Amino acid sequence: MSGKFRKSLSQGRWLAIVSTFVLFSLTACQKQEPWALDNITGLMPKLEFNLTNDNGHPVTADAYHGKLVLLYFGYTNCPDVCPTTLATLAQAVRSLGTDADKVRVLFVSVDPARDTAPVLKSYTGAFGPQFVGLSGNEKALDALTRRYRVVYSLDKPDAQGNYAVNHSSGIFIFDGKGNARLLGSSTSKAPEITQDLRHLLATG
Amino acid sequence: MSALNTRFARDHRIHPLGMVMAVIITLFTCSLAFAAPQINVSNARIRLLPGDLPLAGYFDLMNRGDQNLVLVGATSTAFKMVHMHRSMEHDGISSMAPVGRLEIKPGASVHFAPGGYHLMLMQATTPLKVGEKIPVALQFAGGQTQQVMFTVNGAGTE
Repeated sequence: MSGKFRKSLSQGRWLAIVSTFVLFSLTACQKQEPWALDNITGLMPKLEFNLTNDNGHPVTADAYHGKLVLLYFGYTNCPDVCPTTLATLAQAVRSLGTDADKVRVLFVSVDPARDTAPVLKSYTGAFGPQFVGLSGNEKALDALTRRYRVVYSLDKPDAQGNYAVNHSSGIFIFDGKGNARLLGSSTSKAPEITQDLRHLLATG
Repeated sequence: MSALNTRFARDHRIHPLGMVMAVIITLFTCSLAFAAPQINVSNARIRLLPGDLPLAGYFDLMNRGDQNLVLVGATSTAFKMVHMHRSMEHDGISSMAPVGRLEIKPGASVHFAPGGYHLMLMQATTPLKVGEKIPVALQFAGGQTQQVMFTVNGAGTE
C-alpha cells in the first residue's frame, strides 16, 4: 500500500512539475516578440550615409531603397571575426532562396587605408552577389559610425606594419524604407537571422 | 626462443608459420601502440579569402599524453608568417590579441574556432585553392613539433 501511495505521490509531483513548466512556457510565448534579434524599431535613425562603393563610385543610402539592408562594420585584414560574421550572413541570405535578391549586405570598412575599392570588391564578392563593400574618408565614416553609436579604433602597427582594428560587432538591419528595425551581432546564428529576414519581408 | 616456439606450436598443433605470423602481428601492434600520438589534432582547416589577405586556421587539439603541453606557435612552408591570436568581444566590440603560449593539461582539449583562438596565416608563398591540403607545423615548448595537414575551405564557411 505504501508503495502504491509513493507511486501516486511521485506521479502527482511530476504532473505538477510538467504543468507548471507548460504554463510557464505558454506565458513566455505570449510575451515573446516575433524577432530572434533585438528589436530597435524607433530607437535608431534611418539609414543615411555618403560613402564610396567597391566600384569606386560615391553612393548614398538611396541606392538601396526597397532592399532589406544589413549593415556591418569591419576590415578585410581581419582573419577571424569579420569573415566568420560575413559567412554567417551569407548562409542566412542564401537560405532565403529566391528572396535573397531582396537583401543587400553592406560591409563598411573602417580601415580605408588598406581597403581600397578593388580589395573590397574581391573580398565582398567571395561571400555572394548580395554583398557590397563601402568605405570613405574619416569624416564620412565618422558621420555614419556616430549615427549608429558604433566605435572603432586602430591598434599600433607591429614590426611588419600589420595592425588590428577594434570595431563594433553589431549587425544593423533596415527595412526597404531605410528604417532601423533589428540589431544582431557577430554571435547571431544564421537560422535566426534568416527567420527575422523572412518576417521582415513578409510584414514590410 | 625458437625451440620454445616450436615445441609450443607442436603441443598445440599450431602451424609454426602461424606462430611466426602471430609474433609479427603482436610486435607490430605493440610498436603502433607505442607510436600512438600524444597530441591529437582534428578538424584542421583554413578559410580562404581573396587576394593576399591574412587567413584564419582552425583545429581541435587534444593532449592525450600525461604531461602538460604548451603550444607556442606554428610555422608553414605555405606562408611567410603565422601568428597565434585570440579574438575577443567586450561590450559589443570585437578585438584581437596575440597569444604567446597556450597550456593544455593532460586529457584536456583546446579548440581553435571562429570568434576565439585562431592561427593568423599571412602572405601565402603561392596562391591557395579550395580543397587543397596545406602542411602546418604546430610548435610546442621544449622543441616538439607536430605536422598537421589543414584543408583549405571557401570564404563562406565556418
